[in-house]
Amino acid sequence: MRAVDPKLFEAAAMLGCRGNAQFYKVVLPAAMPSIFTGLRLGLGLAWFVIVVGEMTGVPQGLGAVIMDARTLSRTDLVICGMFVIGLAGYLSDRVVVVIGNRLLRWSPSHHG
Amino acid sequence: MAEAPLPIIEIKRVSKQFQLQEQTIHALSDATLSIAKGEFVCLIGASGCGKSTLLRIMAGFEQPSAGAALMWDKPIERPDPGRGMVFQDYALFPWLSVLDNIGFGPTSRGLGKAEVKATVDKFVELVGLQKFANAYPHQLSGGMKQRVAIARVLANDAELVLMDEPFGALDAMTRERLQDELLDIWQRTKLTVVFVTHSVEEAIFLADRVVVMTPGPGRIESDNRLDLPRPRDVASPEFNAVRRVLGAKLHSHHGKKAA
Repeated sequence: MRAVDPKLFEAAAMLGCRGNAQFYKVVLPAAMPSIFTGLRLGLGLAWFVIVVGEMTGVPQGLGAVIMDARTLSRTDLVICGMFVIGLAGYLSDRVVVVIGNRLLRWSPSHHG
Repeated sequence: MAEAPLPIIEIKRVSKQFQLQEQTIHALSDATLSIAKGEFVCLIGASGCGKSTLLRIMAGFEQPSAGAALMWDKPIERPDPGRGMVFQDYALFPWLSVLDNIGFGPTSRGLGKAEVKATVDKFVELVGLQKFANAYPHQLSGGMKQRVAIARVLANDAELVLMDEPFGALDAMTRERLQDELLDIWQRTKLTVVFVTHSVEEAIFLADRVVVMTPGPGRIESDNRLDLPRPRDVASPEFNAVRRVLGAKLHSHHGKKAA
């Protein structure tokens, strides 16, 4: 929030936008690029953590399937599991990017 | 003799100090100035002469440390849509299109959709940006951005337009075009304009009155009324005579410092 150009607050104030309205009309849109970058990073990390979690303690999930297939020497299942993890991660990332690009058309530095 | 009409802006013995770490900076010292409605006033001076500070006090972004700043005889306490500021670096909202930037003020004032649209359309046309109505600021040239900034202030019914070196970042040709357009808008709308610049030529080309300021501490050196006929010709001998006089005043503080 400190990263918002102070001139923009002055511009908003002189145009009659004060107090709480400044949050919705200035701070939030100005923070959008950072919010989306954070969302992408967070999504990647969450995906990584969930698969590791599935591999280590739970009987369900893609990670568990890979671990089971490994103990049963089903290499085909292991590779298939890896492939599905990659694909799902890629697709969910693209969804965030597409939404981000749509909302951040105005930002010259944000075209993922 | 009839009583002088109430000035739109009155600056009475205004001083402004800033604390910078341990030091006190005297940005403005004992400035007095009154501006009549419809006047075009240029504040001119070297950097550090307090011209931007004075403008920011008029806008309500800063409060004077001493003295009073009044608009229509009421103290200026905070920024207000009646006093629009045009910044050197535009300060447009990058996430809004040209239309929405111009509509920001009217929307904030709570006008209805139809009214906002009518106002915006009028001012987009005034500054000739119909073709770029849906563009975002990063897609525009500097001159176009400054046109949007001017339209944004006018769309808000500002009576007083404060301009802080608005054309300083533009190339010479664009600057001349915008100067002409600004004069044209000023003459048609009868606005009051206070324009900060460090170019003597720009000041003489535009202003009814040129207020010369000198630094260390920032103060008003002189207030010069220009009677050159409009449109002004920058190459005419009269123009150059004025330029010589003002140029001398602008540099007068150098001599005093040596003494």
